[in-house]
Amino acid sequence: MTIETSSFTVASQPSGLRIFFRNRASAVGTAVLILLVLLAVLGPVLSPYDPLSIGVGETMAPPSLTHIFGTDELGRDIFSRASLGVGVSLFVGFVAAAMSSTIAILIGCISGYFGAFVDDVLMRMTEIFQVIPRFFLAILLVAFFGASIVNIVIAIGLLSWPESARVIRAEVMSLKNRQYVSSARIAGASTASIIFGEILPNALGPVIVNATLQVGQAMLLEAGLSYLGLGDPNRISLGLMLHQSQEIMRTAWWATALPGSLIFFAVLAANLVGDGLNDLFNPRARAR
Amino acid sequence: MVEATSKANGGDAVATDVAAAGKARAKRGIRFRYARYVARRLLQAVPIIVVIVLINFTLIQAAPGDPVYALIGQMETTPEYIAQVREEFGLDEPLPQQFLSYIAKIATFDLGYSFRFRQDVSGLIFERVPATFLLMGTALVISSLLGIGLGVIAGRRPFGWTDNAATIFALAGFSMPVFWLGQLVLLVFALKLPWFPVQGMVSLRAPSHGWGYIASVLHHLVLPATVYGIYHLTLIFRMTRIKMMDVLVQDFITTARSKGAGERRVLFVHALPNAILPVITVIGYNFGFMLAGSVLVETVFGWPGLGRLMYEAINARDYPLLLGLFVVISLFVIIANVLTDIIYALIDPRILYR
Amino acid sequence: MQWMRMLAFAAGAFCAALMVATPPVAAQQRGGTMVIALSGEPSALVGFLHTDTGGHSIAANIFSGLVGLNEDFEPVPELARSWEISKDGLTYTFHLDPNARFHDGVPVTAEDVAFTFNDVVAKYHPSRGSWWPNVESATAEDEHTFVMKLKKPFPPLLTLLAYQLRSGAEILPKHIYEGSDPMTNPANEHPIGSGAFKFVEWSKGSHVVLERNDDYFMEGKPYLDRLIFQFIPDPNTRILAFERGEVDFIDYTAVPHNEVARLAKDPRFKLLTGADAIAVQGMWLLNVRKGPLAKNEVRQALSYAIDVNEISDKALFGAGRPAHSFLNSNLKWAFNGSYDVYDRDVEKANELLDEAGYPRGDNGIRFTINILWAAGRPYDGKSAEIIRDQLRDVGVTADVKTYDRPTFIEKVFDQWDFDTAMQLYSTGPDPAISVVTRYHTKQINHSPFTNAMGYSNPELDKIFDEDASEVNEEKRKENWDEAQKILMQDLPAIPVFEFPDGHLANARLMDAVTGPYGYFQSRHNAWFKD
Repeated sequence: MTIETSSFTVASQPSGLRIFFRNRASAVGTAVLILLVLLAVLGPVLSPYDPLSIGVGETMAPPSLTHIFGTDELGRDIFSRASLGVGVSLFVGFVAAAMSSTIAILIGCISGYFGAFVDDVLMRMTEIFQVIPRFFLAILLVAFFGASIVNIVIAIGLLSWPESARVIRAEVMSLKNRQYVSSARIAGASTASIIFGEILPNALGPVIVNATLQVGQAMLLEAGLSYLGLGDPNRISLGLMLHQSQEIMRTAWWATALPGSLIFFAVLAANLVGDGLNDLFNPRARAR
Repeated sequence: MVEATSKANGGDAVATDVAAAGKARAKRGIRFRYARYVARRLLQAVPIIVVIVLINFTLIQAAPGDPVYALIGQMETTPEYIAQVREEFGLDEPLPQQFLSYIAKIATFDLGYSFRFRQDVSGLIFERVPATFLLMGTALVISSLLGIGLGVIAGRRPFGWTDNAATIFALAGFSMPVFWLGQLVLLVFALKLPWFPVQGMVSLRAPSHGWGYIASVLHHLVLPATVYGIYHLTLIFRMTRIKMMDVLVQDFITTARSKGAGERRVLFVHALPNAILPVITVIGYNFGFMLAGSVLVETVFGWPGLGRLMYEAINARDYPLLLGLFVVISLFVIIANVLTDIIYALIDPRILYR
Repeated sequence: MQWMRMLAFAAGAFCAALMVATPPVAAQQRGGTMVIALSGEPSALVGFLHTDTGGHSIAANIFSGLVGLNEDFEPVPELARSWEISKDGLTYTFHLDPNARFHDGVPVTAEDVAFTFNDVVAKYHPSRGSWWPNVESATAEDEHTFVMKLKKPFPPLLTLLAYQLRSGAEILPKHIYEGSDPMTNPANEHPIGSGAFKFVEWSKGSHVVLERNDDYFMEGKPYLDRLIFQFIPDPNTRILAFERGEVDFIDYTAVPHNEVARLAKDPRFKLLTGADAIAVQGMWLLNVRKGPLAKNEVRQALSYAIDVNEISDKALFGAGRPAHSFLNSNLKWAFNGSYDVYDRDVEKANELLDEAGYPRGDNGIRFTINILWAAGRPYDGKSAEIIRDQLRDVGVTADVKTYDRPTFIEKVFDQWDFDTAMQLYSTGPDPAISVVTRYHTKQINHSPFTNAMGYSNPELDKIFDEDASEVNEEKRKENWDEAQKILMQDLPAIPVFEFPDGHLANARLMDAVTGPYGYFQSRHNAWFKD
């Protein structure tokens, strides 16, 4: 059908990758993210120590050949813990971002496509979630319902969708009257397949950008919750490590240095990738 | 869809109407439109706030942990005492009744009585507002100046090395856990180099008045506001950069350049004003985000603001205070959004008719 | 212990009063502002509303109690210049200082004292249930004589009255509180007492300022011009502010333990001990109601499995001591650590667990328990993690869970929904006040910091009941010896560490701590050396 050519997604055009990597910062960001994912996957295999084990070394031992990033106040190996922590933090970041994007896509699409009453109701709801101070609500949710990693992810995911939903809604509203959509409708495609098959792929760009940025945001939010004592003690995240080792920051600088800089690089990388993607989906940047 | 069209038509009709009227009448008309617009937005806030109260009320009731436990302190107590405190605070009433009496109270602008502080909630909240606004306001100025400045530099030559450097700098602040950044800054600028005080809002050991007091507050403000400002600079930077990229390729810029305008003039006189609008929106709409994020900065720097109060209210299960804070902060956010829209409308009046 | 000494002391109390009232020869310098850091904002400045340490460390300066305690745990005069105790130990007669005035100029009379106890403490204080029911009457005999009559002898009464954090015995002005609801009286916001310092302002979220009371009834005191209490929630910021000189004093509850060793060596600072009376223990509470923990052998096995030395070394950075009994070693007269036979012995623990009918499964695991701890107490969290690690050696899996404080209290102390939990228990100033409330069968009552473990031993209850009115010091010692033996045998909880009780202070600050309640006592003796 003729629809195919016109519904071609922006990202799949051959120039996409080139545009993305033309921005050296986002290329570096991608590389860093890949490295961190590798660390999260391989780290626990490579690291010689059990991250939960107390006293695998002296307490607060500075970096050395046996403990390349030193040990913490309980004599646990910081590198082993951090490589586990990267995984947990990335998990929080990606799952929370995926969750909020899914909600945003559902609400944005439905709202934008159906308009009228449905739109009104959904947009009022979005407004409410935009107005509520989200970090407070996240603290409240986690404080009240327990500091488990699942609760933390849910709290962050549930609270960060409104912006993306609005963006999607606007895109859908402008796309739904395009000709290829009308033709699909006339061809008898179901509403769901029109929304998700025809409209969504073309509206996805900004959502992907937002989602990437939210990965970093979610990791920071989790760290913030940990700082307030609301981290999950059974899942060592970088935020939790950073919070716990803050106590010994003055005596053992290495204890905060690794988790702190890993969060920094992870969030920075996610942000750089997000920026690169943003340029990619921004028509003017593409024109250059 | 049909509705959208009719709305647009209605808007156009009004617009032509205004254009056709005399200058004075138009002015009055616009003022009237503003008033009506503000009134409408504030009216819309009422159901939003009721729903926010309902959501939080439900959450709070579903939550474990009893406010009584936060009140007694460190020593053991008896079941009789717990019952006594529950009764004192009306916690023994049925839930729907608690909810209705709360709604009835806030309708008369009475936010209730805090368990934790045994004081009127509104008093507690408004005592903290100036501290938070001072911190946020200063942080906003810092982040706007830096963010817009860097954004202009970056947007001028996208993908060049200046862009990359500015991007990384702007994102760096946004990528560090703000409490960690705060601690590092304290270590360096308060301890190793004893230039700034560690915590608090004013020096208490040597009480000061008048200008001395102001100087002391400003001295205490520098570190927290900078840390907070650096954290929020990114959003402003990002928007400025993209808009500058958009604007700089437009015809009127080429025209200005061809007329021999200097680069600085092109950037700041021709391009920036056209790029600034969405930046203002970003600042306005992030008000709530900033307000809530303040709890971390306030904790690190011992700043007596709303964020701390909210955190304490959660820890103490101080429901009236918690609900009061949600109501007041939501109102602030709504007001900030309305103000943002008005600023927007001053430049682009079409928004009023939407 | 102190019973006999107390009687002897009461006889010569007047002399003692004179001695204490006369300042020693060393000339205290006047002036200066002492800044005290608190980890959180108190809920109220009046003592009858709560048992919050921060609140009392302010209130103790604004209000006066009847008696105080000196470093040897002996009662010393405060509002009461002297007192007598009847031979049967039932009647306490207090003679008030005729010079004492409230900050508004009205003299303090026995009427105020009687009002404070009968109309406020008896009705509103959270911990009154542990002692007030034993009070027959509290009356004003004449303007300066106050009499308290008991139903049964209660030797620790003076100790308790001096321990205002628990007794709430801070004398209120009757003329301000009478006829009002004390809970909502506006004076709670601008408290008026008869203490060494007057209330100036409470800047919510930030600080409380008190200033010198020139009319203080103790001649020549206080020496300081102002006291400031600043609320600094972040422990790192607190210690930075202290190092920077913005703060002069951090009490033991707010001291970050990892910094103690380093700062104590610094000539600008000093470490003060003097929270001995509170004698806080880090306890690992075991819910004896259900599952493996219902068996005494299992509890003993857990005690063999853990190494309390490693815990106090690592979780408290060596600032604390390992605990060896249900009483803290600060309570020298009663403490007996010899019943702690549980040096770490993994083999023995494994044996006991096998015998108890919990063999290792195919995966090497016998059973799983949870360890709850309350957020904001890093030492509890670290202890829990170390215990989790140590239990792995005996095939017990521990699931560490953290909750914010109100949830923790509800789960552990109200719903009893836990296997094990980390909790600080004070064991002083007298175990009859603070240990009985944790392990007596009567104390299985769904309220905070009581017997959440569900532990009941009639033999022990009997000892507790007898001891409450035991006058003989030797006999009391025997009672507590037996009690410790039983508790260490039954193990409703495992004593883990003795909480570090050092306060950090500016080296120039003198006499800030002059009794066993150093963390919240009145600072009327404190002064700054040049």
